[in-house]
Amino acid sequence: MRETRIVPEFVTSFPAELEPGHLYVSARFSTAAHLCACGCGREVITPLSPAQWVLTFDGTVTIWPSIGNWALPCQSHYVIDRGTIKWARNFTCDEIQLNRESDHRILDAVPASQGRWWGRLLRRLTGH
Amino acid sequence: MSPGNNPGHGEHTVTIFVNTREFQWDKKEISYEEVYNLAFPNEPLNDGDVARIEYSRGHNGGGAGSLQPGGTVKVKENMVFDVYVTVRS
Repeated sequence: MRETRIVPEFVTSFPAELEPGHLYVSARFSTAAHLCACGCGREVITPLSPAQWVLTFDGTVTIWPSIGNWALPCQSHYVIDRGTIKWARNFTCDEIQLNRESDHRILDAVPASQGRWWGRLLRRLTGH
Repeated sequence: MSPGNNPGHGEHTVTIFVNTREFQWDKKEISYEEVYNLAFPNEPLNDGDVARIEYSRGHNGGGAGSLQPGGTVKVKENMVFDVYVTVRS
């Protein structure tokens, strides 16, 4: 069943089994996980950094930019906006290929660990 | 290996974190495919899809980088891996 809402859960490590409708956020590892909002049950990982996804928490969660699950059988595409799933349009095969190449090119140009200083600091302080 | 499943291989076993989850690894190196399988067991990629694997807290200074299909990297205690197939769109 398609999700319409998602609520944050702040954790150190993701649980072995994620629950639908929850966005698990790890500050220590600077990443987030949820089950695909389409209901297919696949785990979606969104590392958090200025070069990857950016999380905003104001009591609700926003993740930007949008999440394109092109590698999953469902190929779902949505935005998490203030705790709400906003569905985005399907991409064609050509658009998916262009999107993937563009995203990877950008990531290759900017080290993913850049800007993730808070995670490194937290790990240093906690000794892990 | 699954979380907390320490095979008991002794001094060469290190703790690594894959998508925040803790694993014990008893080899000196880990490959792209092995990291992917720790992150997403039983979820093979579709043809043409590539998972991004980025690591930090490895060897060589800052120890950060990315793993490419077919590649390997030396492991280090408390090394961190991000594995994901989702694309920003």
